[in-house]
Amino acid sequence: MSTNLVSYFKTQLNQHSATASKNVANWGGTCYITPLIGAFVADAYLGRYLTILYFSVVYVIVSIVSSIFTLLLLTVMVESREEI
Amino acid sequence: MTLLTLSASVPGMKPTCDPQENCHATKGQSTICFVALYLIALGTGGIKPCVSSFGADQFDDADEAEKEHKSSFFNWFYLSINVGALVAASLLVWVQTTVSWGWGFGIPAVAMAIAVVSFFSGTKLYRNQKPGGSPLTRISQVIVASIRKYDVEVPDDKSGLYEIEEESESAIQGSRKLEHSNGLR
Repeated sequence: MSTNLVSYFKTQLNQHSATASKNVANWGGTCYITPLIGAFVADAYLGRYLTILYFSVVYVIVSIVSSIFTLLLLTVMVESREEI
Repeated sequence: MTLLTLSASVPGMKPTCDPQENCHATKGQSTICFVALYLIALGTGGIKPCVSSFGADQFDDADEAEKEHKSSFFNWFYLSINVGALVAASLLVWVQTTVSWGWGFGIPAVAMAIAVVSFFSGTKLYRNQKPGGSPLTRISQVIVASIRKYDVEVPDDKSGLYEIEEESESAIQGSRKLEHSNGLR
């Protein structure tokens, strides 16, 4: 994922090289820290199976809901543009 | 992943580019992209530390044949991780730069969906270990106990030491008992 992210930020989001690599580094760092949270939750409370289940289910639900939301938002935007 | 794919492929969410190939992303488009990325980071956080140890849970160390299967499992596990990294760094980067960013994020999203479905299709076959309660509680118990008992004399025989009733399982649910050691006397 992170291999080509700098060039995505640069070419698609029009970010400066420094900003782009800062953003990728921040995100990469977060990816290294969050397993600590996940590991603690798994060991202390949920067990490994339920942790994998909840994190991926929450993840999938959030991404589907927000995709639908953004799609609806897009339709609204297109419609309001047509009205004008 | 789904969100990231959408943000890279749906026209209204995709940053607009002028003929000189300068792209202008709106604040909202950037925000969607970053929210998606950090959700991925959170998801990784739940999955990454658990998969390998969950894999190890599936094999019983007391059984010789299963012990062998476990090391074979980890060989295949690391092989697939590295093959995946190779494909991601070569094929996917090629797709992203020559085909489109939508496909570049879409292929891993589809792969992830397939992986999640196949993982949960095996639910009935898995062995599950019980969580052992917060380790922070036990760490503070050890610190408090060692401070309170610092002047108690250590008995020569281990039978003089405190021990719980159960034969094999420790007071921590689902964990094995540790043998007494002479190393720290």
